[in-house]
Amino acid sequence: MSFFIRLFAVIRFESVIHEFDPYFNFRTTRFLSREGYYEFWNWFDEGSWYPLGRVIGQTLYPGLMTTSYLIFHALHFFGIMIDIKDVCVFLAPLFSGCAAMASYLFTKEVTGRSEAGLLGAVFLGIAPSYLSRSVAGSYDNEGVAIFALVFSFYVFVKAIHTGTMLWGMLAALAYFYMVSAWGGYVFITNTVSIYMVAMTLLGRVTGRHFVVFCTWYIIGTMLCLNIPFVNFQAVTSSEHMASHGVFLMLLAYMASQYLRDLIPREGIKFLVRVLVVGVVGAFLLLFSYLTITGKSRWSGRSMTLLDPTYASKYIPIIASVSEHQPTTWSAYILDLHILILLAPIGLLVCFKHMTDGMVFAGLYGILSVYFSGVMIRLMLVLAPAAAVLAAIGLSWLLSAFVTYAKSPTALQKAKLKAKGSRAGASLSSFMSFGEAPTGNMSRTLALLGLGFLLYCTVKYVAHCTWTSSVAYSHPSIVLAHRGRDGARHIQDDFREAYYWLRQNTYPRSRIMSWWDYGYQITTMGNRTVLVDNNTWNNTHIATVGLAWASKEEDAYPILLKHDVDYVLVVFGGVARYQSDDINKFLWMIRIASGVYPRVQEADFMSPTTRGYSVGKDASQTMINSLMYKCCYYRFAEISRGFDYARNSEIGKKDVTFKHLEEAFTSQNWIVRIYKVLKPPNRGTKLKSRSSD
Amino acid sequence: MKALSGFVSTLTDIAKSGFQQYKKVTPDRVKLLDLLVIFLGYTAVVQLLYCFIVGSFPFNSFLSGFICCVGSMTLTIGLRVQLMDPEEFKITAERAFADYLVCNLVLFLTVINFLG
Amino acid sequence: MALFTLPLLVAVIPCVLCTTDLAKAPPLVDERIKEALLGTSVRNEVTAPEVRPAVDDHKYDNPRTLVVLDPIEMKDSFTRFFKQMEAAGHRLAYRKVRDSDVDKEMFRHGERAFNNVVLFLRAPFPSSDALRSLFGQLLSFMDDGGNLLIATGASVQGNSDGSGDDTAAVASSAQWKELRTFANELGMDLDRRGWVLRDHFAFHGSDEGQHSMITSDKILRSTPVVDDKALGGPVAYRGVGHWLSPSNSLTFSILRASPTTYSAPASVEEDAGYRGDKQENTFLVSAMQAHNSARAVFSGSLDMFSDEFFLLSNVSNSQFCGQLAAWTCHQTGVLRSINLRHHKYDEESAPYMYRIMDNITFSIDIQEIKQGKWVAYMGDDVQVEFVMLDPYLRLFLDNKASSGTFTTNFKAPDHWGVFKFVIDHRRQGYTFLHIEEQAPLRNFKHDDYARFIWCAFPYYGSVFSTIAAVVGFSFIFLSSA
Repeated sequence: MSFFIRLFAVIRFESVIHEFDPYFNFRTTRFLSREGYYEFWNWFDEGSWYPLGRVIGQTLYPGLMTTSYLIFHALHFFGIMIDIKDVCVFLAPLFSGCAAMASYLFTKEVTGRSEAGLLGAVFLGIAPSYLSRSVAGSYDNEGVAIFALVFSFYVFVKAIHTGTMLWGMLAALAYFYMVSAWGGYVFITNTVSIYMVAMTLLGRVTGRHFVVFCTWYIIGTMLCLNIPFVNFQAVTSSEHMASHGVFLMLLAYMASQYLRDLIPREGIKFLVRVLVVGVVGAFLLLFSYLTITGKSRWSGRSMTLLDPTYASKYIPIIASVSEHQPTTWSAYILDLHILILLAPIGLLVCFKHMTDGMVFAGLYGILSVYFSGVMIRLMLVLAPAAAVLAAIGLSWLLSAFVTYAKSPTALQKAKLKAKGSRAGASLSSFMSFGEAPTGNMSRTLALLGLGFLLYCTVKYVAHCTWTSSVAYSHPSIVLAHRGRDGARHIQDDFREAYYWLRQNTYPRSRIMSWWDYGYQITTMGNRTVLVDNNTWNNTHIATVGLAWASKEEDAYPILLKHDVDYVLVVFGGVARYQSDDINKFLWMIRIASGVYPRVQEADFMSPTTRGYSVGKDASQTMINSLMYKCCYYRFAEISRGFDYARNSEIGKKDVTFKHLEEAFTSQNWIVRIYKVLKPPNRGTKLKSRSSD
Repeated sequence: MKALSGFVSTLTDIAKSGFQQYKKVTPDRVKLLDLLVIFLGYTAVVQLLYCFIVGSFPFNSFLSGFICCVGSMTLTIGLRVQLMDPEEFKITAERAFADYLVCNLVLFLTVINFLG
Repeated sequence: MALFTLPLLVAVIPCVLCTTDLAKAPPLVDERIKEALLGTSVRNEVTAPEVRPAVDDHKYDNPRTLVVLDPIEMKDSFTRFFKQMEAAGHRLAYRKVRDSDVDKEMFRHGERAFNNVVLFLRAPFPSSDALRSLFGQLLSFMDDGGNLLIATGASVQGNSDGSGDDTAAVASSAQWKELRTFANELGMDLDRRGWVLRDHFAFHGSDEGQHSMITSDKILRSTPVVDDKALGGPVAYRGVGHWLSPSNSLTFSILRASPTTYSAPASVEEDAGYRGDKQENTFLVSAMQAHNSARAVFSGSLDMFSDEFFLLSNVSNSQFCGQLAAWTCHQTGVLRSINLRHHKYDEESAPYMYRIMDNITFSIDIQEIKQGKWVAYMGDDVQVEFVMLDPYLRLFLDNKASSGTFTTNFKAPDHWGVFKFVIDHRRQGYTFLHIEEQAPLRNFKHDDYARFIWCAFPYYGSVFSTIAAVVGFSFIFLSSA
């Protein structure tokens, strides 16, 4: 079911890759399928980030591509000649099914109840926030990573419960799969470390925990080092420091427990005093030394997680991505529906019935709630937690109601059973909500309660289906809207423009556009770009922003220096497309001004209203900027100068170019491409001194 | 001066009594394990010193060597804990040892991959 | 249990794949990557090659030249000059400005139909409209790669017989404005309408009038434009002067006036003592070589080319004008490059991508035109740059044994990226040589690094000792159980 619910996009449009990042993943997977693993691992791409080039092989998370590649080859081996694009498009739904299974295993392991497991699977399989990142066509790391996340947690909890080293090692391998798939793997690292700390504080640490954590930590860290993108960060970055610290702490704790058996009490007291002061002091010193001298630093994104205002103050690029904005309440409801209501119940259950697994689930829930509040993108991490906790809560509620709804004899039997087996405290025999039911709920009330819960779950399924079909299923590369007569108009401008590029420009042409479109241009247009979505080099992006924000005469030397052949803008004034370059222009200015102070945001605001405007009151800097000119060239011809995306008339209607020439405008004017002309053959014309 | 010598003598007393207790309590196999732990720890410390002196140029080699030793040491300690406390773990010694070997194998594989 | 093998597989298989290489890629896989990604088999060309018109096939030995005269009877005054040109191999075609077809003859079916245009204009000038369209065509002609040789006089002041005729026709304001605009496009600024140059010290002996037949020996030296050592004397000149902007690097002067030359209105009597404007650097003949190496030479004196001046005593007009025409029409001072080769030091052909710290050899053959034949260029200061946004290396090319093959060896820098070889050779009097050739540098592949680093041996040793210890220990452990 989770597979099918994600297929709306494929049915409504076509089997195509959505958004921006998936295009890069698709391109790398295609390269891998054609060239083999050796070339992929060492791939130096001279087609992006011209002229700096990008070492792709060592700067990506290979898990997703490897998985697709293996499936692709397995299918080919069996004679099913499927195209790599289709493998990529349908991979995310496939893995969401696997994630649902993993959620079942996880919840079952945590609670011991298979019905909770089933509920967990259902909730996660169709949770809208997970859905949004894993529809068919959204070929992104998260599709695989969530499965890896839940699976790693499952294996870890199972390891904790059994306490063998083998399971600890398997947990480390599952963690390795997560590390290879997504940058969010640090979440696992820190959750497990915090879990250990919590267990220590609760006094529930036993040998099992120690063995499993140490095995997991050692093998896991070693495996992290092996992924080239992580490399030394596994030991030097602050995100991993927690696990190092917890490891040492656990060692010390176990050592102290051990020594307690060996050494008489006074000796212990003495030693404890000496050691605690020494060790804790040394560790604090080391940590602060490393942080102050900058030897180990938090990455920008981690800082944003800890201090949500950090990015908007210091790193505009991170703040400019819409996915990095804080989450709103409505997003919670939209994305999680009744899970929001059921999850707190599950949390309560977790902390009432404290077993190792329950504490873990509760901790996971709390941490993910915090992080999801910081960035919308991390709602995704909350989804499994909410699903699991909601499943726990719901299953407890159901069992509570069911016991009331059963006949009295069955109730007595249940009471006896509960009493007898509670002594063993084994996981699989929890039946009632804490103590035996004391109150006397009438049967009808219980049935009503059951019916209400059933209704809620049915509404949940309906809601998920609705969100999937309406909200999350359009590929942003193909736009659709309903005309006045209700018919559906498809606007395929992006692909039209990219294919024009592919067919009408010289193969080694270099395209300058804003970084959002970089991946799509390299994948579909097959041309070299200056900057793309990887955003690893802020100065280069700032230079592109500077070129967009400057006058044409000032931008021209920058274009020549970077050997730019074509310039591409996305403009929504005719097609009412809201996320076009003019709306992003402010972010371009901010990013450029971070590196080139002569570009100031205030210059681009209207002098009269002090707001962002393209109309008659726009500032001169704005009107003369290259971006404005490229967007509004010949615009007056088509709409008499009224910009439908910003609902205002534009300020300057007669735009002329000296160094650019229009090469292509797509059907709905969404994508416009300009050719950069060579410098004038005879230089600039001389200005005569005489008048005669 | 007197406090220092008093301090030192207290420490040595504690160490001696601890050592006596240790010899009494631990079975032979576990003593063998502890020997291995000490050897591995010693190798790790030597590597650390070498890294301090010479500089951390092939940092990946240093890391892999260091983590190999520390990792094996930790796994051995884990095995020791398992052997010392059978009712907590509910597995036989052979099974624990087999797990230990498998984990070591995986560790060595990854270490050798990272060594070059 | 089956689910648990998945992470294990995903962990182990990449390591295996690296060695077995499931896709069985052939050894020269760089080539295939490029084909797959680009879809073409174009090597290293970054922009589309320029298309040359058919008329350029015999550009250097037998060029087609359009001579535009107005009035056409002027042809008879320049017979020696045109004979010189024909002797140099030109195929001349004579037209009037007022021929409405002249504008259309320069381009036939969108393609340039001539190699050079010689334009001689004197008063009475054609209408300003005709001039404007003619000049527009000439500029397109030059931007398309054709060369221009333009000579004009301010007025008929100074007929062929040396008499000063005050009733001479002068260009009207509109006509002069067109001429001035045209000269501005070529980077030159003409003198005022109706003013001529005079010099009371450096004039030719046969001028008994107002000393407007000036001579000058300030000729551009040591360039292929004119061989100043072979000239027998100064050059005689009668006409207007012009100025150049010092900031325009495309223009330069070939013949400058003596310091005692000044310009004055044509109608002033000799004894009026009118000094007019004395300019420092009045230029008589100057040239512009555009970015596409097309040349436009402008002379303010028509009479310099005339038979009358050729026959004067003690002047070198005929050699000067002959050499000037040859240089303008791309018969001297032309460079070309062939055989651009770059490869790794021990290989023969260029790879798709170099690697950082590679030893690279770069070589190029540069030739120059001499008497219609390409011979080796003897320059000793040709440089090549290895550029990525800024030049990382700038090296002199070695002209080994004066063979015209310029080579150099170097070690690629430590920084990866898309580099390019750039030769930007601009010397006065020679055509511009600008070559860009892309040469990306990739980083080390993971097996390009040294296999064993000697100072890491302790770490290798420790790993193996750990393994040995564990293995040994397990034997002892099992045997003691």
